[in-house]
Amino acid sequence: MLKTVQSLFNGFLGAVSVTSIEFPATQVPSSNPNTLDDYEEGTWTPSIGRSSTFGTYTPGVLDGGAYTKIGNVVYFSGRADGSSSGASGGVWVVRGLPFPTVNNASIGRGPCLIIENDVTLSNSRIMQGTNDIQAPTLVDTAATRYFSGFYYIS
Amino acid sequence: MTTEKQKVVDQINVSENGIVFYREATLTIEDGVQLSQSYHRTSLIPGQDLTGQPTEVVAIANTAWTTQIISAYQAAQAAQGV
Repeated sequence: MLKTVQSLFNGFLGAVSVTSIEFPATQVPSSNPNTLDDYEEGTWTPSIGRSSTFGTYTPGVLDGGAYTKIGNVVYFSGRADGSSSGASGGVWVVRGLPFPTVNNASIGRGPCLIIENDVTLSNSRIMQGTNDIQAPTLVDTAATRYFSGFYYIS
Repeated sequence: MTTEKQKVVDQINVSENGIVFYREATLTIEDGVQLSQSYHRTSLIPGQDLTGQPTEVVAIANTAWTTQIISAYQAAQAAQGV
């Protein structure tokens, strides 16, 4: 990306050294599909519960998450080792994605890799129009859990 | 030399289906000069427990989360099988 930018500058503007590109702290959205209009890095806090009655999540000491937003795509990873109590109904979810997913059935859903106690959970997926990752086969006790994925936002 | 950290909620947004998501900026300031900043994001679904959330976020969530919004969100999620 940087080389491409430098090549463009070299081609159109002469030799220009580019070390970073800074975007505004608050996105100024562009409707032009060829325009990159946002970049942001940060952290988020995952928690685990059931989709109907979430219950209370007791985090593990290493819990945490990070994200990078580039345009309308969010890349994330995280860890949630804690346990849940009082949760019921629906399915297990990892909640708290840093931005809500786009509310669109075609592009709002997608796979998410969750590894729990060295086992890859089947059928884990990001849901549309929410901040949840559905994890039907997750266990409700404390465990070592890592996850990562990406999704589109509105 | 005085170094301090300030936490401020610098963005609060509400999605069309009622999800409230906000950004908390942590600023490191030394002698009045900002040295660095970092972001932490939190998102809250309609009807979620707001205990411990910043006052301004609670105010917006309580306004946005009408009974209709909460019901519509839950129905939409149920339709996805969650």
